[in-house]
Amino acid sequence: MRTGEKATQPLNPATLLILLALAGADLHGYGIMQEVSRQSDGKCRLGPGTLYDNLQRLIDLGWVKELDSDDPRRRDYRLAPSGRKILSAEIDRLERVVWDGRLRLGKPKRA
Amino acid sequence: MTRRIYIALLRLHPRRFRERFAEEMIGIFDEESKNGRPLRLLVDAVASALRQRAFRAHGTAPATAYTDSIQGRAPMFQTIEPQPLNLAAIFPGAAMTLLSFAALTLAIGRGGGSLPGFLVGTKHPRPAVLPFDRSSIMAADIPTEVKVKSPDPDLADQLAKIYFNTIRVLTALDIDTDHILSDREINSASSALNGVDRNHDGELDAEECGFSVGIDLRFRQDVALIEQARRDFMRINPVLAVLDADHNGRIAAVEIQAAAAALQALDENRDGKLTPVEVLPHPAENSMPGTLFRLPILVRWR
Repeated sequence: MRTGEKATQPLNPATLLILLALAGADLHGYGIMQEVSRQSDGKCRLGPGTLYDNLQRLIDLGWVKELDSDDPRRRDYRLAPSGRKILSAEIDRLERVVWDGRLRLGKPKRA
Repeated sequence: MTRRIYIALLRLHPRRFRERFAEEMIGIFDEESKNGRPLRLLVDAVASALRQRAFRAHGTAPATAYTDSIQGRAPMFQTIEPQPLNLAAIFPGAAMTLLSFAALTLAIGRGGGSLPGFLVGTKHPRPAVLPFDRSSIMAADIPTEVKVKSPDPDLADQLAKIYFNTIRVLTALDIDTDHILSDREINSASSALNGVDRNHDGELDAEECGFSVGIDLRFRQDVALIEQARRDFMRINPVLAVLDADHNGRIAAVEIQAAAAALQALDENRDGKLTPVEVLPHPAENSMPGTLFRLPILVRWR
């Protein structure tokens, strides 16, 4: 099972969007799709196939947990501590990228 | 209808994925259908099925390396790979096989003679791969029969017509213009040849027999070359060759007087007349090395 930060960075866009969606609250599959669409202002839409392909991988990695549910058509997913750690590391990496980019381009940091 | 198609597409997914997520995916499909966007989900399901079959491993737990082991003895069978066969690898493997087969079939079909002969189906197989139908030790004569197609009568008639009009001597000899020199025409050859003697010097030179220098100025200025061409002209045409008994390139008065006897030498079948077959020059003679003069008719048939 891969959990190391160095082995996983950078995350692919779909994985990052799913982890970000689950960072705020536990969501079922359709909820993740809607949250991803909301976060990207409707520019990014995950299909069910792409969503569950990534979810399956994230569950196998232990980054996301599948919660018990009586309704098989609506199961909730929760960001696991290891997933939160990975997401935090990715955000830090992106922050460094943004900081370095702004420095090189000479753009001031937004307040 | 689209829901049934979507469910059918979900059935194409591997069993492990299907059992885990199919119900949820159908639930999402139902939610999206309310918004009127089911087509996008059908495309997504097709792509997902291909992705899961081609690139995702859904194998069972690793099989034991030893299938039969007796305590204290060597195992009866041991697999080389500790992992069982990855079923997901079958799909891309099959796709690659089909692509390779299609490319090979296309190459054979379009290759024709341009591709090397080792490809099956080309028109030029190597002799080495041909089966032996007889022993190479026992020498035997191979009966070979060559059949030559008879000449077209119309073509022969046209060639004879052109040739008889080109050689003035023949034009004069062939009084009835049937392109056959009959015994009567052969016997009256001397008087006919005298009619060809335009300059009335008592003998026939190459020009009077039908030789022409042509319009090439470089050729016309080379006297030696023209003289050589004249001799070739008199030598190549059978009728002129037999008439010019001393082969000096001119048919002298004496040779004109003996024309009938000379012409009879060409009568190979002894039927008393000369047909185009007996009169036309042989291609081999016409293409001898050093021959400058080339006849417009290069074919003689038998």
